[in-house]
Amino acid sequence: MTGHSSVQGDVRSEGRRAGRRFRKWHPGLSPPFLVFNSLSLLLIALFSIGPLFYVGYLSLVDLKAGEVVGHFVGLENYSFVLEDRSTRTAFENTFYFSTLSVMLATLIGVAIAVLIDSEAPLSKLLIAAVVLPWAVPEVVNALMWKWVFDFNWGALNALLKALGLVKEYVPWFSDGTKAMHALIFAYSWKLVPFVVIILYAALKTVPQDVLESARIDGAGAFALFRHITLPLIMPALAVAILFCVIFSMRAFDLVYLLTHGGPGESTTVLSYFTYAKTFEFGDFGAGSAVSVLLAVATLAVTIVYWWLLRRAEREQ
Amino acid sequence: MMSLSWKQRLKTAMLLMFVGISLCYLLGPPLWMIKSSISSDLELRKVPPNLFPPDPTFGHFRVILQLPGYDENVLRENIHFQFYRRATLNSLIISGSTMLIATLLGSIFAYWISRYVRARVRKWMLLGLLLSRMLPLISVLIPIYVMLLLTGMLDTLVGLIVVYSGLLLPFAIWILEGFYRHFPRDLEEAATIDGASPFTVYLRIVLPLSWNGLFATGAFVFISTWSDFIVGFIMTSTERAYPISVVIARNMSVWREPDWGILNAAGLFAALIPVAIAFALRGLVMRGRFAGAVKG
Repeated sequence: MTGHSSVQGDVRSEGRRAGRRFRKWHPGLSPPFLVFNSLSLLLIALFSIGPLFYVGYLSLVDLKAGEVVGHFVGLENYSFVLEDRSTRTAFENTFYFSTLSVMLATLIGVAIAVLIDSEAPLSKLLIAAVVLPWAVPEVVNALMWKWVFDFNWGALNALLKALGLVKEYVPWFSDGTKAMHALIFAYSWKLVPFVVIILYAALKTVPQDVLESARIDGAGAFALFRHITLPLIMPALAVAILFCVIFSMRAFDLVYLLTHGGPGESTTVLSYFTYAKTFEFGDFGAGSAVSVLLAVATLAVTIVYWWLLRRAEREQ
Repeated sequence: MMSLSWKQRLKTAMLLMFVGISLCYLLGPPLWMIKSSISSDLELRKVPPNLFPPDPTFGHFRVILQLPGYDENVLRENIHFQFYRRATLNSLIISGSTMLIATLLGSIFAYWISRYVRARVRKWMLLGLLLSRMLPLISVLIPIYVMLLLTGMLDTLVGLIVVYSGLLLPFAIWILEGFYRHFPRDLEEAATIDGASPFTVYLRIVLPLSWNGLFATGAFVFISTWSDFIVGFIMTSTERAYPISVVIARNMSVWREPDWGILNAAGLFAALIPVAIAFALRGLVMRGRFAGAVKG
């Protein structure tokens, strides 16, 4: 009886000792951490990382509706997609959309960040207002702009006519160029907060005494910004721009809700193109191939982003 | 020093003008939405429109929330809005649960890698997490759809909560890791010397002191989940799981002129919670602490 329990005790204390040795080797590996962290890793693997591999796989197979495993077709989906004239258009549209909306958002964002930083009158109000575009849900953003751009009763047409800028109301979504520019304007509104938030933090680090002594030496406001402030906030600005590029490359909701990629294919950006191919035409192979191409393009941008972030951190 | 020089006055006036323009740009469209949500249908079709509605009405809100005395005909014409109340509740459940799961799991994971993983490895882990979520959402939705389909979790609240938690965990970890990296370690060391286990140290000492980081992360997760459209759009098909944004989007048909009064009211109501949270936390946001992780 006693022997039995003492053996058990030995085993138990042996186990405890092993656990202690293990923890000494790696003190963080205590059971609660192991349990919770495996749960986290499982969720991340299932929904953030795993799907990327599965999409890669899907792009290499031919999948019939209702199947999960297809038969291997090599790069056929890619050649099919790349020969498609529409893919080229989607790439061009994405490039145009991203470039212009990021440029617009950067210009406006820098201006607002500088205004807030200069502590102009009412700039406290600006801080409160600038988080608004970020917080407004995507769908609400879309319906808000659809209403602003509405042909008959939209605020924009009424405003332009009242100011005498147009004689007749403008049908914003009837031709490709106007529709694209309307989308760009609406999307840049959503991007502005990111630029302002990142730049506002950077502007705070610009040393005031340097600015002051340059001002005493007679430098104008623009020269101060161009030669002192701008070089100092350049790393942060690069980060902000690349962030916006990554976001704008995945813009979907606004395109889907405002134009459905039209008229024609004039506003079909890659993410909408992927959606249409996959979920509207049911072509999983082609849809996956396009999304891999889009992912690779975004990845290239992200790597540059990471590299700049590291460099900016090292310089600080 | 009787008065400011004219140059300074001009400068102030210029600054004020720019601030005014910026405020118009940022607040104009939302203010127009507020105006439209309380305008009558007749008022909405006025050319040119009034700046202020002469007879404000809450009729549109009454319809979407199905408050007593609402116009049933309007609801019948905007058929999807009969699910609006249910969808609001769905969205609250989905966003709230996702917030809790992603923030708590993210906090434990972020603390763990900031303390027990070597800097080199940690750097690569964080990079991997960021990369996995920087890729377009549309690319990962096909496999997730298949996964939910196979497990029977398509069109369920649980399915959406699990998916959103998985999608937002990397961001939560990313934000909180930055927070714990700057967290003072003296207290933890003292407790460890006193014999507390690593998890006890986290639970008893670190967690109670990290409310700032947890609040910021939780708010970020909540707003992102609440604002999302595409995940909910693809993963749901009935009011069982419709989030609020999907119900609104389903009423924005391209085939007919939308009912703008109802839509504006519904959009305004859907924006209230995230906007309120963002205003409350704007100090944290503007400090740039998690500027590197604010998602679109």
